[in-house]
Amino acid sequence: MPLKGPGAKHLLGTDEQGRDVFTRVVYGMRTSLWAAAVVILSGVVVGGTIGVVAGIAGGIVDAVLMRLTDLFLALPGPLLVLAIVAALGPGLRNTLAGISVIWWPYYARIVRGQVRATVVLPHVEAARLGGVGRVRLALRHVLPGAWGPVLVGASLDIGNLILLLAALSFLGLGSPEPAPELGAMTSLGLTYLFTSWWVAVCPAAAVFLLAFVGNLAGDAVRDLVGI
Amino acid sequence: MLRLIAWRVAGLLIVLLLLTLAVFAIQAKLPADPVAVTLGAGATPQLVAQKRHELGYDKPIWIQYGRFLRKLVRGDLGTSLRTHSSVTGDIAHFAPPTIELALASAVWVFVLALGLGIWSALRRHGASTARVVMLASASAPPFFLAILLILLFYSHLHWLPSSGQSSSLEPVGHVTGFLIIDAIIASNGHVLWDAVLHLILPSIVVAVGPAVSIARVMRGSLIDVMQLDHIRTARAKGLTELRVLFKHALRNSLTPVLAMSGLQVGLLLTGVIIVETVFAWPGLGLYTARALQFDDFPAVIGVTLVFGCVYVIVNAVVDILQMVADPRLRAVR
Repeated sequence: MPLKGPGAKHLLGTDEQGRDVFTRVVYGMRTSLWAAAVVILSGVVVGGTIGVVAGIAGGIVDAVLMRLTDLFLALPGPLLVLAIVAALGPGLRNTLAGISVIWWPYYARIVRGQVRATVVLPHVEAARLGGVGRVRLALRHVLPGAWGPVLVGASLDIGNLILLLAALSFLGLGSPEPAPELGAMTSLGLTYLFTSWWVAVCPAAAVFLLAFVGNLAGDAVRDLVGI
Repeated sequence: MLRLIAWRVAGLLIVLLLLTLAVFAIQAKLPADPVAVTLGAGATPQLVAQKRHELGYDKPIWIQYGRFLRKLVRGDLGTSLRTHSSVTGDIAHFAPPTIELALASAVWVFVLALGLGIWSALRRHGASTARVVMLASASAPPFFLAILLILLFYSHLHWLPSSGQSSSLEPVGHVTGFLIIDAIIASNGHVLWDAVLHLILPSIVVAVGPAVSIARVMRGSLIDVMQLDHIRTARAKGLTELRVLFKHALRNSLTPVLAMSGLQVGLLLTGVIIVETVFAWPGLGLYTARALQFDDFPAVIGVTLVFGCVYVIVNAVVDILQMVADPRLRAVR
């Protein structure tokens, strides 16, 4: 199948199987965004829970959980993801699971710090004196104060995650062909780089655009929340 | 001071132990039974059971972990399923090109981080341009940069080669395994020049990500330091801005930069895997990428352990260096 260059009929040309590159790039971008959102959500939930528990319980629980978090932060995350995904077998679901295993410590730290700063505030003390239970205290009176920094951390994270996901997909750890994933598309397109540049350049440029927009948005959110 | 260093080394040992534990846990989770894979499809259940017993796979998990640790200490990482030779041997063989690439990248990181950091921190014309350039480079996946540079410098301008470590078939004495050093030893200028040309593009691509991250930290740190009293004093004395920067500000701003540099070693090592794949650089990164393709778990696990140890040890050394360089850090605790 001859590869067609970018033109009116196929905006970004076609690949070696005659598939429209533009269509595949658009679908790949959707997968990227969705996958990044899933990892961030799981990081916020797991890390947030650990952070809240450590921050409210204090004492020995806090010390143990935070040392554990530090240990996880000291390990080289992306490398471990590589090994985890290699062990679980390739596929987008396994890749997401692998990243999620190592992506929570950052959020645990943010939430724990915020919670420690909030529990000493007068309104929390008042609620506690008013007889509010521990769980309700955490959810209603302490947690809302932690949203800002978590939101900033999460939006600054989007760019990193999109890049990491693309790298893993590039190395063949994402969904198998013919699923449209930006990293895998670039990797396949390298074969035709000198004859049909668009097959490799377009998905790679899409990753760049997504990460760039993500980073810009992250900066904007940070300025908005004012940290 | 010595006590603090001893604490840090103890912490290092714990993290290293955790690293081996994590890798062991990953290995234990392998979907494919390693015994069945080794014996092939035709093995009878009895044979598999016997082999499992021989290899100790029927023992409790902590005894297996103990065996795993003992093998590690002896430097035994198992046998690669793809090359059928020992993973340790493979790693030793493929390490020199990667070390060469990483060192060349470190030089670029140093130059780029310092340049970008200072340029964007001094609120002069072009500072906002520097910020946009930095944000864009931080968002570029390494394979995108690599492709663009190859298309420009190889395909279009014909200035630089696009793949491999050298294009000459001239044999150069194999003394150290490092091509550049071997070329110098053999005093073969042609091979040396060729090797340097091949090194330029991949090392730049590996360097950009870490360099930008470090430059961003440096920008923040420099801006803070430039507002301190001693900087005002130095300016009031009539020192030139450059002298203020290099004599009075730079050294003070380096502590967070140093910490960030240690953390960026992780990004550098992951970048190496991608970049070596694009440029067909015959090092550990390409070895890992091939191993991932062929489900060669022992090789992937081996490289993960080696890279992981490098990362953890470098960060411990950085922490200690920080304490040596900055007396303020010794007072903490």
